[in-house]
Amino acid sequence: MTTAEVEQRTRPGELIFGLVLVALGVLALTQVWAIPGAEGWSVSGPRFVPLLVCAAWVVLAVIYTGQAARRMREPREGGFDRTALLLMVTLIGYAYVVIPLGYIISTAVSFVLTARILGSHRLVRDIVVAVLLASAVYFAFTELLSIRLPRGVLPL
Amino acid sequence: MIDLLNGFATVLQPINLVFAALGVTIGTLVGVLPGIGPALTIALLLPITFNFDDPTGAFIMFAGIYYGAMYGGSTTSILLNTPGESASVATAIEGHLMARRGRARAALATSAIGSFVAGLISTVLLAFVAKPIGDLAVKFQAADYFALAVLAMVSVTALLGASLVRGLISLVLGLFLGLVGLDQVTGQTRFTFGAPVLTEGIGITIVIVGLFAIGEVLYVASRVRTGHDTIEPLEKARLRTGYMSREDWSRSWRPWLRGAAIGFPFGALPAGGAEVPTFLSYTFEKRRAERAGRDDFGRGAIEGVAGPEAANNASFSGVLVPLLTLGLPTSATAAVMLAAFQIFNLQPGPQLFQTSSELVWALIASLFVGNVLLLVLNLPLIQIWVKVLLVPRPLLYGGILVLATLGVYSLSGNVLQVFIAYGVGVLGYFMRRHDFPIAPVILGVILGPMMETQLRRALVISDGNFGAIVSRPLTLVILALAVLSLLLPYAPGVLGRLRGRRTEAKKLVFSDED
Repeated sequence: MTTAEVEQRTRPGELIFGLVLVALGVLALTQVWAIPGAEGWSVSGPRFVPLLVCAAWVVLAVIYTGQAARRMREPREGGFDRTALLLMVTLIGYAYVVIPLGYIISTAVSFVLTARILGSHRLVRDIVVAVLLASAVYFAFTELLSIRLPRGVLPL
Repeated sequence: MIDLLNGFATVLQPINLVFAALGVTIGTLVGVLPGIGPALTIALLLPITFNFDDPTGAFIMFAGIYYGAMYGGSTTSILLNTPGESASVATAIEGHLMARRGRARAALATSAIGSFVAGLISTVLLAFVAKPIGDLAVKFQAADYFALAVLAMVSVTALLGASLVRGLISLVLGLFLGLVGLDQVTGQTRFTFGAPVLTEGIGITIVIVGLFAIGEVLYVASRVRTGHDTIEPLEKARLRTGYMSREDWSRSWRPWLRGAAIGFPFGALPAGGAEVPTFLSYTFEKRRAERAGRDDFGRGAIEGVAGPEAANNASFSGVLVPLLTLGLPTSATAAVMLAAFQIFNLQPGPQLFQTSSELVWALIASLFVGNVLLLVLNLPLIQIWVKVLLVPRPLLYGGILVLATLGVYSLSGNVLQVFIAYGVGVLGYFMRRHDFPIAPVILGVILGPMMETQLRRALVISDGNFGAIVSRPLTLVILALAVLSLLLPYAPGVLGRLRGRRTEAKKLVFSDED
């Protein structure tokens, strides 16, 4: 699911989703051949069920795409993928920095960003909540549940 | 009976009572948040229970969380008309109308007491039914388990969602996710695309958190700015007017019993889940009121809350029957519970009553205790839960993302798993956007590997001969039922009408969490 694709699918989104499903299904189907197996295609071997599942995937996705192409109706609510896209970018960035920066800082920052993306305009409140939430979760998990969370740059 | 008493002895230890109370409170707290159903609540809270050394405490807490989440969900449906799962949709219809007429308290009370009554009745039924079915299930062979898994997956897929093709695609995607990783029989890697992180497979909790928590937030996020779904909490003053009057009691108790009677057997069917029984109960109560010449359905009839809520609660005990006796989860929530069993290296199924009899009976006893605690805690605390509804949505969804990420990370200790969860979340977002049901994915991931293993075991026994498998009468009957359930939604009749009502209600936004 790339950026370009997310932006494209504002209008005929259903059709594109269908085509993506077909493409992914075909990709999965080709991977069935990559399963090593001394038994080859034996019905009780490791390839048989994957073959059925992937074949069913491709067939169903083709049917779905066909239905979508015939309908080609306007999407119910178009053009709001930007929010979801921004959220996704924030989350991925979060996962990248959480180890180097540490749990509290990265969580607080991404929480503020998330709230902003979701339409909050009260920056101070968001920051207060973010710092409290991130610290509370950090200490609850590390101290009470003894689950290690990334400490990062803070001298804790 | 002795077993059950022993179960109570376990649960009534002070520490376990604390776990139960904690579970009910946390469950209600999270479940009351708009758009969050029991399945998501349990998935979010699953990591907490992993830190228990003793599965008994974890499951007692789990039962509490589930009941709390279910009750919290009906609170939200009644007060805000935003059901967090399809099982609450029926409740929301009359319940919200009652709330708008200033009878929110009565609606909340009838749903809490109704859940309590139905929960007690259905747990008694569970206690009596579970052991015999477990004994019967010992005779099941690999082929029968294969057929049962097919039946559960197919019937849930066919009964949920608007289109069969979409439902089946969801199912296939779930089956595929379940295939990734090491083959359970031969140990070959499958669909790992050369990535070592995929070798251990995609964990069920990652799929659940990804689809429910992350996918849900992304989807809601994309609609927040469109002005849909604006939530206007009811004024507090309206909540102050009145608990249940004597008339409310006399109008409620029969729907409670009827709801329990409908909920338990429907929950126990392989097509499980709570949406069918709750809507059946709603339709039934409405029809009765019409026949009695009353016209208050559509204006906030208490029967329309009492019946579906009782059915909802009773169906959960029903769902536990196939889960505990056959290891067959038939709803998303049951699937999460199965995941929890597996984390403690327990395999639900016929042997569970022999190998972990103490745990099972403690779980059943904890359902009773959970019900009691729910009633004791929730009726007086409703004012607090209402406050939770006022959390601003950006903070709420930001918080869910933080907790979801935390849950995945603390489970695996691996950032790559977090990326996989995000990937699954994106998939979930697109599926929601295009009206694909989510529950079949979960069932596919959970039941797929079991179905494959049993099928291959059966095929090895029969020398690769499909005919030999299908010729077992029991297997054949179960497979025939699966085919039937695919055709059923197209048949006119009770079900057709049910589905008609569902679309009429138009509240299936977060429709298939359970």
